Amino acid sequence: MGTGTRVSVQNQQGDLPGWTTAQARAQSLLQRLATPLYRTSLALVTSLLTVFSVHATNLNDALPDDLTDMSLEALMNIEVTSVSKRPQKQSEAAAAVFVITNDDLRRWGVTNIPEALRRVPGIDVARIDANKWAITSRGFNSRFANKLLVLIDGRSVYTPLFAGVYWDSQDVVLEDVDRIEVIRGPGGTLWGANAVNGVINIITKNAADTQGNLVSVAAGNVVNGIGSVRHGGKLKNGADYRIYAKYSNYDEGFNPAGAHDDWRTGQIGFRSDWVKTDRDSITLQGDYYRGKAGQLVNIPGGPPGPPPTTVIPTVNDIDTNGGNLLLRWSHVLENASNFALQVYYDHVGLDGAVLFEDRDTVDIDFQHHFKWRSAHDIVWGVDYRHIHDNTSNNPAFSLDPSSRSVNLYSIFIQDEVSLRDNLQLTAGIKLEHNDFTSFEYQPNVRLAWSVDESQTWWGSVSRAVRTPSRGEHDVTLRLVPPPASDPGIPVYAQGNSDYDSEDLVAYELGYRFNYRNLWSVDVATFYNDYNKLRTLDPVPDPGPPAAVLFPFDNNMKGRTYGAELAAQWQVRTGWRLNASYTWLDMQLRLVNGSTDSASRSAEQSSPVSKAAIWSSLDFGNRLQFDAALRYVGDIKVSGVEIDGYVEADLRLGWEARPGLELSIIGQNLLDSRHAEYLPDFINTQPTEVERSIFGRITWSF
Amino acid sequence: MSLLHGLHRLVRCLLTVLLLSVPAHVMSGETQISEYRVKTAFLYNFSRFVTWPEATLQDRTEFTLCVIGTDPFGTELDNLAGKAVKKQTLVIRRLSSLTMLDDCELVYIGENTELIEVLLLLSEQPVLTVSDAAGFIEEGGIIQFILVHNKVRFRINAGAANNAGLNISSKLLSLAISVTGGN
Repeated sequence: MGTGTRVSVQNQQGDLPGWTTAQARAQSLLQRLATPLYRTSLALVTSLLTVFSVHATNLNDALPDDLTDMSLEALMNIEVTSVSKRPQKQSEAAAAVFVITNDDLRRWGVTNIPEALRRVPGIDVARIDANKWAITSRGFNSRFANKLLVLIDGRSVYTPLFAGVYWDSQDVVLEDVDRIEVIRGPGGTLWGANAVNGVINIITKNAADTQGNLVSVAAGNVVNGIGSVRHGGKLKNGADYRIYAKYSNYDEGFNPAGAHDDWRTGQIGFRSDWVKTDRDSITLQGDYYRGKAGQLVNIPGGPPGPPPTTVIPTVNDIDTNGGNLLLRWSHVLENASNFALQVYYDHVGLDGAVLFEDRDTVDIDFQHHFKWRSAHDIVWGVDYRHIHDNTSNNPAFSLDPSSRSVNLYSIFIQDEVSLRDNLQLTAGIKLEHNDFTSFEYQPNVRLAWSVDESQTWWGSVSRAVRTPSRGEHDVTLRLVPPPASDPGIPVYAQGNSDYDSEDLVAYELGYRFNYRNLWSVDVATFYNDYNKLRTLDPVPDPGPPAAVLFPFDNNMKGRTYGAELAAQWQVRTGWRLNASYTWLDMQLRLVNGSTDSASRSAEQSSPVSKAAIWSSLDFGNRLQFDAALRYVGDIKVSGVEIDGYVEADLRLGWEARPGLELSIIGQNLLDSRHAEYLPDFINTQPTEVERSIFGRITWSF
Repeated sequence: MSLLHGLHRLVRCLLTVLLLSVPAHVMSGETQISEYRVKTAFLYNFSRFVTWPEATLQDRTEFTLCVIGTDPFGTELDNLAGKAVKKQTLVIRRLSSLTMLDDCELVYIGENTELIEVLLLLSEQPVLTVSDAAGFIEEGGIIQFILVHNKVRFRINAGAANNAGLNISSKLLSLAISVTGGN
């Protein structure tokens, strides 16, 4: 858990002059990564950082060489790459980052956020069924993967119930997404607990950039239908706004024994951005959604008897609903300092055959950034979060107490100091208090060294913690053991009030090379040393009724090693090639005499290697052809082997008229279907991913 | 399924055609425009949409655009040199001290200079002051650039322009994000 507004808060103000930036060094780095640079006096230094950034956005098509020939109105519509007035500091690059731009989302032909993350190095995306995903960064994948922090516009969207994400409930109008920033490695100092192995920031566009109307529809054999409508306008006080509605409906996946995992979700929302003065800007945004996600879930039940434990297959719709409201005020002070205040409310409701939760969150976050003695760039902040949940107990899943309020307080400070012109040191620490484990500290030290104009080395040592989830503290979850090990009596995973935080000390080393934005290579390597990882040790309970309890405990240590590569080659104007590669080695060992036979299997739940290569080709200004090949290696989920796969995605896009784009998209084309993952903890029916072909029409007017 | 196969074949056909025609015309307008290249064009436009008092320009053949403080434009600004502004020829001067300020028609005030001192020196002089500095308008500057989500916008202090004897065209005023002072 934690604050989690670092990136987006900055984003709001990042474009304003005078915001010489920095709350999150990482953030401003990201902005630069996302926007290729130009020849300015700062470009030399900055271009070191624009590693994967030569994105062929065609926003500024056909500009004359001499801009003075253009009308003022036309000039006002040019999108510029904003260069911070503060010289770019190399330390901002001292992290492993990948940015998915709005253009990428369109050209990759994705329909939701999980699909968008598939090509990102270091991120492991595996679909369990049509509406459930296992997504993680740097290992430990699971539907309930808990070491990744996900934020939408500064609002944390992982559930404290199990510290994972309901991916089917995180919908956005993809056309209105500005970018998705993926930071691998610990981000605890800035983002707080749970940012153990990575942070994903989904950042939607400023309302000023979504003026006018948009209608987008897509349909095909797997995508039953996705429709988005958006209207953007201006209020009398000068504030920009947009309102939108979106509906998605997906077909079920493949399982010969039945799937029942078709799902649909509808969402409405708005965002308003108001530049009140040149010093103040205010953002107000909100969303509301309702969804129904089908599943076939095997509920353990019936009287104890001979093995295997009785299992009742149940066709069930998970009903989801939720809403949020967020207000952010950014203010520029004298001397290039600034502060931002953000408040949000978030409601999540989920009602399934096993899982049930009804949760309200209020989060207040304040950050202040200033310069000190010219060499220091300091940012500090405080955050308070209050979470209240209500759950409904059933024989398979219950929480004690069934309703709980928790509070989270944190304070952080980070200093970025220029040791020399080409040497940047960043040091920071976050102190956080939570109700389960009291105080936690998360420091980091990062160093970046720019060898010359085109190369940067960076390294970091950081500590991050994953605080216990509500479930790990309070749950009683009846499991369905695999038939081979079924003791024939009920088996429960059980919350443990002594369950402690998992912690990580991470060592990272990275190298970036960028030749004139024509080609670039970004390599990140890491060694992670984990302590107190979660285990489930069996404890027989003589009863009556007799049972086996598996209380959560911290009896595992782990070491993971990995390397991630992102490369880009701008072959020529209008043709770009990209590649990404991930290598991961995990070694887990039990300690304290643990007899857990299952948790170590996480070693194999993420592929050892994973790769993607893709091409983005333009034919003139109106025709685009995109192709991708993706490889994911073999995995074993809870001991069950799942073969690796190679898949291809294609897209052909045609701008029939200005503002009207027709495209035809194929996903997973090489096989009629393939399996990617299996459920854990809750025994739902997994389904295979099928070949998908759909058409899409996007009309802006 | 037959629909699917049909689509499949269609895609394949299209791809074949496309791939064969690749070398013919690969072009796209991938252009990334730097902030200050656009702002340079804005400066030039400002010079055309602002009218200086007759007395100021009468006996001058040059329209002087000055930069004081750190110059963020790089070489972009030099592309304006020699262009015509009304009857004058535009020249660029990068000032290292405040003494030459009143020879300028337009001054861009960069970082690392005493903003308030510059504005004091120029107050009520027929000089158009432009800057990116936060709070520039409030300090008495005339036009302040502001980036609104990566697009260049500007604010105008019409009161300060009046005091300087400058007449800002209604068109420029109408495009400003905000106009303060004056009528």
